[in-house]
Amino acid sequence: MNGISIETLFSGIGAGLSITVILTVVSFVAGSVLAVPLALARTSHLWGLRWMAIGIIDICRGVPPLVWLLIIYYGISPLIALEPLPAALIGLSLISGAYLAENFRAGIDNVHKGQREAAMALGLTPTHQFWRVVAPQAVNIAMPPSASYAVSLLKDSAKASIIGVADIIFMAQLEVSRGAPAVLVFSIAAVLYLLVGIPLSYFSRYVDSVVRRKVVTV
Amino acid sequence: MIFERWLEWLPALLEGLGVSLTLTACVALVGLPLGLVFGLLSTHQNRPVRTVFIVFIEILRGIPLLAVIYLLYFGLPSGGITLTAFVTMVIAHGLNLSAYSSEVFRAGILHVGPGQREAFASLGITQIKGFFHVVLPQAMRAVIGPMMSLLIMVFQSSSLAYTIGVGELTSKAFSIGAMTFQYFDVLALAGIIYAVICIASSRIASNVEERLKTGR
Amino acid sequence: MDKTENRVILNANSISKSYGAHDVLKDISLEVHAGEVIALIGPSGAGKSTFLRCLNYLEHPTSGGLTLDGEQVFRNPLNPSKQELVQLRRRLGMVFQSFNLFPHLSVLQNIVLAQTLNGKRSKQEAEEYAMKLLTQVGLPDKASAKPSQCSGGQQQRIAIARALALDPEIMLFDEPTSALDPEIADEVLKVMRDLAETGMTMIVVTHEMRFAERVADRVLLLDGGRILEEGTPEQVFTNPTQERTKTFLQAVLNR
Repeated sequence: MNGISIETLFSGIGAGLSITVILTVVSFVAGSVLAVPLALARTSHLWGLRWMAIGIIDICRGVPPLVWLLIIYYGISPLIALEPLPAALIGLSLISGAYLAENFRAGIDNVHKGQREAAMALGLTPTHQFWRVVAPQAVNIAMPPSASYAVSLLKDSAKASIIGVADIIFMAQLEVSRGAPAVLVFSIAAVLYLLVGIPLSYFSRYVDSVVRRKVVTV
Repeated sequence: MIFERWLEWLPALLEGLGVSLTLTACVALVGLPLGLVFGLLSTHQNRPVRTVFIVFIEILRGIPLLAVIYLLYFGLPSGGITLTAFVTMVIAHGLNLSAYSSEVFRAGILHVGPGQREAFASLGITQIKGFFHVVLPQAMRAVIGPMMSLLIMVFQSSSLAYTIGVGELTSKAFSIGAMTFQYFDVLALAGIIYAVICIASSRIASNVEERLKTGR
Repeated sequence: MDKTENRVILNANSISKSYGAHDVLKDISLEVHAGEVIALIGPSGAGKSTFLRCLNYLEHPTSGGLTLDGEQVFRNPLNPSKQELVQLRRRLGMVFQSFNLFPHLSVLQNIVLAQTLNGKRSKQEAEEYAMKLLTQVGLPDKASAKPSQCSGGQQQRIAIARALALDPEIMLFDEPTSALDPEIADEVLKVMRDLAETGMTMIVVTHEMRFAERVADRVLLLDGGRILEEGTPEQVFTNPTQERTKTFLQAVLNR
């Protein structure tokens, strides 16, 4: 090797770690927020609202994440001079919103029919039936798939490097362009993703086991 | 007006689509059999064997596809191996798919309870024949749905081949954009093509799943 | 005690229910007097549960209407407003075969929820009343437990308390013990018997013939969506008028 130590490589590439985490966390949170009205629209009795939600969800999920990022960064940027990071955050948030909305919808659909009937029989208004009985249980059901979505979001965030966001992969490419051996550099990058991803995976499995005890499903 | 340009760009994009689809097929041909092998090995009776493969799969699944692509694309040449971008993509993506599909196969195999194995063993059928004639057909039914979702994702991820210069749909769209500066219009068209194929495939996939559940 | 002298509390007029071409209920009418315990028995698929669920409009009848305390419940029985439905259900209590307790709430909160959300009582009053009811069904120590920590029989008793918390005029029971082992069923049946003795008007869909015999004031046998036999337990069980009734009772009582 030409005098580049593994430690310097690690810290060089590791500088992208915080950006990777920011991409993942912010997109997941923003996506969760977007997902609520989307899921409500998706399960609405109003035919028009429902189909609009289905359309939005299908399109957000049907277009590959990379294409979304390219559209937002290269396509929309001329209009409102977007930096790579905000562009990536917008793109990933939209996609997360669609995926999480599907999770929430499945959660709502899978709450046992008897729960809503019991709420009705008690004379609760439809609003109370939903927000106090169905929704809390829907959230419980939606948590495991959402936790595992967070893990895949972590990996998807790597695509942001393609539009120039200074995440782990971007920093790794930087090191390679400075002459560091590619296999080593990308192996280090891989290790960094695993360092964050594996605990997240375990957490997601933990969430799954906790929630299983709490829900009554169809 | 936009539609005229779309018609103008369509032939090039469809050519790119052809490459994307070919890529998807090649990745499936590499990744699925490999995934089956990994899936089987991760349910092996021998504990060390099982652990090795479970760990290996976890690692492969935990790494972004892009990292694997770059690792192979930039790393292999220094090892003296030069492959085309297309082949590199197939290997990288194939490995990635093998990790994900191994999980699906594993779940499918485990889904067929131990009772089945006992049943064919007591009938004097050997392990291998029993696996192929009794366990695998039943596992397949559980596997088809998730597998189709994986393949749709492979098609979407084929867009990453853009980064290493494979002339698939996204690359074609981006180069047209670079020439005309009408990035939004051409990428939107590419996006629509992807979306139409993915949405249609999803619908067909859930249709097939429904049929399998209620039919046989 | 002949309760048919009491005022009519509920009148179900010509209730019919069809799902497409399939007629589940064919023109059923029922007059319920205050304090009466009515048992609905019959073979599976006879429409007993469907009829019960039409009373609190969990199922909407295809034709027919309800009067409660002499007043028409809905302005348009075939198209009730959401408000009217909510009001009706606050006057009738229902206990389900699968209990349907809310798993994300404690036992006490299960009983408190509707009281506070319906504006019936303040949180404090609701909790006190809930404890009173829990004691009444024999489970005061389960107040802070989660439903999943309670046995089936306990959950059903809690479900009864939950329904009683709204002071309903009539309690509807949809096969309350069908999902319970026989020994456990008894603890629930006892609570129901005690409830009947307090003068609560009850309509019970059940397979428990002993309960129907001993506690019910009137027994209705439904078959194929119609009332086949109606009368006091003595009349229906010892002197049925219909052949079908005899065959049904023989099959059921010989178990």
